[in-house]
Amino acid sequence: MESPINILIVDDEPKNLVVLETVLDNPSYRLVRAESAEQALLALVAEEFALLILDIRMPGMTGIELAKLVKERKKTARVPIIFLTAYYSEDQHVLEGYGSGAVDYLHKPVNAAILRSKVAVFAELHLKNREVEMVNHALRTEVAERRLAEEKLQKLVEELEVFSYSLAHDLRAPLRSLRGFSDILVEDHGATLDGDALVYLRRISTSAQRMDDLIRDILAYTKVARAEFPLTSVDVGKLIQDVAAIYPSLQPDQADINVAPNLPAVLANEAALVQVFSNLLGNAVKFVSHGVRPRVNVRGEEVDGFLKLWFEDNGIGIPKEAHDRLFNLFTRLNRSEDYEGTGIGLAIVRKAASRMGGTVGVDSEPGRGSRFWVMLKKAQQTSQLSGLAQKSVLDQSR
Amino acid sequence: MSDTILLVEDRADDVLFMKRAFTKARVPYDLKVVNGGRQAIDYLSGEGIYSDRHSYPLPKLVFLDLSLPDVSGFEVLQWIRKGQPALKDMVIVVLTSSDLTSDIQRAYDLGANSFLSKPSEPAKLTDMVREVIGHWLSGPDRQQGSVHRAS
Repeated sequence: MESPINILIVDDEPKNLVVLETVLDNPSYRLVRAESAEQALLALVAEEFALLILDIRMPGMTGIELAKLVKERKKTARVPIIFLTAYYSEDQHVLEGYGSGAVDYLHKPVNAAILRSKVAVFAELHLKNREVEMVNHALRTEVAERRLAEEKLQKLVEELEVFSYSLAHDLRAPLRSLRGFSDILVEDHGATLDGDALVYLRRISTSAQRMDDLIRDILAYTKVARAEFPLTSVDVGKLIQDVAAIYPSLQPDQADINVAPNLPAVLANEAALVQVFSNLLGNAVKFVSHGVRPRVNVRGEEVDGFLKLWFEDNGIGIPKEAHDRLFNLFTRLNRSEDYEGTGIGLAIVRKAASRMGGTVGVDSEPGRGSRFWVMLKKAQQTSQLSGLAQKSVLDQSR
Repeated sequence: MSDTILLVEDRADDVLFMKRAFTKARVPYDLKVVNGGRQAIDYLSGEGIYSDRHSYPLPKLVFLDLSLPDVSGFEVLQWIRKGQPALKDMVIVVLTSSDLTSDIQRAYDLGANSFLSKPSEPAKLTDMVREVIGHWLSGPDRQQGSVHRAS
């Protein structure tokens, strides 16, 4: 049940207090009586009130003086006051001095209906305030709890990152040994081993390498999925060229990579974008028919503040029914004997793109090459900038 | 007597790989090995058995792993670069399986000359040893402070 509304009634005449009690007899009100300003002050210190009904003319401290103290005290400053006065004309100027809506006055003898309705208005106001207060309190508590939960989660994520990193680190060390020793056996003792032994050793080495690739890619995926993601303006054309310059399979003696000039800058995380481009370019040159020289065309298309980057290849293509699951973790469409891979690369691409507010997709058919696209937010609104002008904008923003 | 290179490495397999790489690379350096950070500091400061500089000469170059059981590679790096003026010309090559950007940055900040990832193939390790020694220890005009990274 709602707690009752406390109302303090102050009058030096006990019979006036009885009148007030009679008029305001209501189960939702709790009336507290005070027969002097001093008594009223004690009551105000002891508990909280929704309303003060105050006789002005009292021996000792007057109602006006009491009201002044009430308004000065921070805890009670906002408690509304209804003055009761038998000498309206004399007290009027003092009452007007208050000027605020939280103060009202009534003539004595009191009109019961008017008093009840005025008190009801203040009571209603008090209930509303109490409600707002409660909602506010609940909100504050919720915000605080949420902040605490977020901090905990952030800590947990950080711990998990350190954990998964050291786990992967520890998992990779024995694999390096496995691979290293089988390679050494082949290299240093190959002459004394028969053909089968060499084949088995190579298989050990390949398996170790494959496991190492898997761990490396899972690590890259978790990094993209969890790490902090500050977005900055990135020169995509330059970044694609940089990526193409690093990977052996993307070198000019291995493949033709053609990047359209003057691609607009995008709002992205550079490290994540390196993962996106290296995976898309790596796939584009990897999945070609035997003996075909890989050819990749990268071009941009501007769509509503986004840059849609197309990666078009001359590879083996992908059947339509596989397009949906292509970007899922561990999806492989080819035997590892034909094309090596962990099935994680495109999952990294999609996760990275979505964390940068972008999307990815593919348009492909077997035998007709693949056209992968990634859609990224452009770094600035104006799209008519020339390549040169864009570069200077970029330089300034660094 | 040939010059010395010190390997700070706790993994026995990696020590074996490095020893083989030194043999294969035919570099004119003697490889000494310590298995932890504490031992590395003892060696470099000539504590205990390491006071015998005939058997344990000060190295020209240190291959330093980062994750070591007792005193970490970072701490060793810091100890060498802060307050060991006698070792200021000694080349420190961090050789680790970490490729965390933060680790790389921290290693360079603490004064590492080079940061290399442990290659997974023995043949690549041999090439790396040859390259590192050729780069840092050949001729009087050694290139100081340049960044050199293996793939």
